[in-house]
Amino acid sequence: MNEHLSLSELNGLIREALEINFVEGVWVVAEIASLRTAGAGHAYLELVEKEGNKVHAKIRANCWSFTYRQIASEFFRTTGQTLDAGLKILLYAELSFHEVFGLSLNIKGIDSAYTLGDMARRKQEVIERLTKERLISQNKTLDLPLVIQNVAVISSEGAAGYEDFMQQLSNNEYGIRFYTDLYQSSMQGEKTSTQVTSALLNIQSAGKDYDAVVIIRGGGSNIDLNAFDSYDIAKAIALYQFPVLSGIGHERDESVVDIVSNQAFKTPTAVAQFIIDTAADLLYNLDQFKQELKDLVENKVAEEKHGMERMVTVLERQGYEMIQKQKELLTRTHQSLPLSAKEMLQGKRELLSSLFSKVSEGVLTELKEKDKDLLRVAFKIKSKIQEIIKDEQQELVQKEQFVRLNDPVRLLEKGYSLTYFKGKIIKSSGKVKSGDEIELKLKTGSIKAEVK
Amino acid sequence: MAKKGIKYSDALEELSGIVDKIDNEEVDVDELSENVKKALTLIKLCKTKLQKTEEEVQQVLKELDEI
Repeated sequence: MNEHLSLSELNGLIREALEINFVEGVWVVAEIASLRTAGAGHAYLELVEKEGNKVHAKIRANCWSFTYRQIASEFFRTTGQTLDAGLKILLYAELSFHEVFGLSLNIKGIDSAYTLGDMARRKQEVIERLTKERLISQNKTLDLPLVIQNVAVISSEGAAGYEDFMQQLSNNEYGIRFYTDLYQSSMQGEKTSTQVTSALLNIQSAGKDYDAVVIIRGGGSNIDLNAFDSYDIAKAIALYQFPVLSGIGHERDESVVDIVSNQAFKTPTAVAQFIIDTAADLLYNLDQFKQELKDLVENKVAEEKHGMERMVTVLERQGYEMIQKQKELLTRTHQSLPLSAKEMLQGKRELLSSLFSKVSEGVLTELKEKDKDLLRVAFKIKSKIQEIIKDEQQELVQKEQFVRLNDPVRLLEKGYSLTYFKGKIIKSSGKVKSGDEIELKLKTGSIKAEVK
Repeated sequence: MAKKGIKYSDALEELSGIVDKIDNEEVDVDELSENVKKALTLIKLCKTKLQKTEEEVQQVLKELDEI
C-alpha cells in the first residue's frame, strides 16, 4: 500500500500551504455573480471573472454578518447601490480553506470607490457609444403632447413606486382623468434590462396611441440602478416612437436611461406630478381663454354699446336741435300767425269788398250801359215811331189830299154817281143783268133802278 | 367637427386664433357670437376630455354632433 494521506490530512496540508502563502489578506477585483444572505445575516456570494458570458474564474466568498452590515451600508452610501449580482467590486479578503467546505474568500472589506469608478466608467462608455451613434438625444426630439393622458407604464405591479404613481395620478386635485396601461417588468436585478426592453416592444406592438411611456422603478430607494445604465435599454428608448419619461429614482447622478429619456424625474411621484401639472396647465389655459374671451366679448359689447350710446346722444342732440329749430320756427310762425291771419282776413275782406264793389260797380255800369242802350233804343224807337208817324201823317195828308181829290162826294157833286149792286159798288155792266135792281148814289139821295 | 380624438394642441391653437382675431378687431359684432360659440365648444370639449371618462367624452361628442 502506497504511502498516502487521508483526505482530511490533504485538506489540512492545503490549508497550511494557503495559510503560509496568504498570511495577510489579498485585494481582489471580481464581479458578484450572486449574493444571498442567510438567517444570521451572513452573506454568501459567488464571485466571477467574466469576459462577455465566458467565465474565466470563479470562487465562493462569504462575509460574516457584522462585517457585512458595515460593508454593505458603506457601499450603499458611496455608490448608491446595494451590493448585488452584476457589480464589479474591489474586495479585501482572507483566503480560508475548510476541510469540508473547501476554498472560499472571507470578505473583510470592499473599496466602494472602485465600483463607483467602474460603474462610472462603464456608464461613460455607454454614453459615449450612444452619443457616437447619435442616439443620446433621439427621444428628446419627440414632442411631448400638450396633455399626457394616455400613459403606458413600465413597472412592476404591487411595487410601492407604481402604487404611488397611480395614486398620485388618480387623486389629482383637478379631477383630470388619466388612462394607464401597466406593462410588467422586474425593475431590479439582472433581468431588468431584458424585461424593460421587452416591455417597450410590447407597448409598441399593442398599437395604442400613447401620449408617453413612463418607466418607473417599482420599489424603495435601495435597489440597484445598474440595469438603467445598460446600453440595450438606452438604445431601445432612444429609438422609441413615444416620448419616455423616467422616474427610476436615484440619489446621485443620472442613469443612462434618465439621459436618453425625453424627461427624467427623481421619483415616480414626480413623474405623476409632472403629468398632472401638464394637464392642469391646459386646464388653466382653457380657463384663461375663457376669461380672455369673456373680457374681450364684454369689452367689445361695451365698446359697441358705448358707440351706440354715443350715436344715440348725437342723435338725441341733433333731434333736440331739430325739434328746437322747428319749435322756434313754429313759435315764430305762431307769433306771426294772428297778424297774418288778420291780414289775410282783412285782405280777404278787402278783396271781397273790392270784388263786391267791383261787381256792383260792374253791374251798375252794365246797368247804366244797358240803361243807356235802352234809352238809345227807346229814343231810336221813339224817333222811328215819330218818323213813322210823320211818314204816316205825310202819307195820310197825301192820301187825304188824294182822297179829297178823289172823294166821290166831290165827284158826286160833279154829277158822278155810284152804282151799287147788292150793296157793292160795281164798275162794269157785266156784273149785272137785266132785271137786277141797282142803286145809284148821287150827291144828294139815291135812285133805285132796274137794269134793262 | 372631428368625431374623435380632437387634439388639445389643435384645439388650443384654434382657441388662441379666435382670441387673437377678436383681440385684433378682425371680428365684427355679427361674427362675434359665432366665434365665441366655437371657442366655448372647444373649451368645453377639451375640459370634458380632460376630466370625464372616455364614455362620457363619447357622450358629449355625440351631443355636440347633435347640435
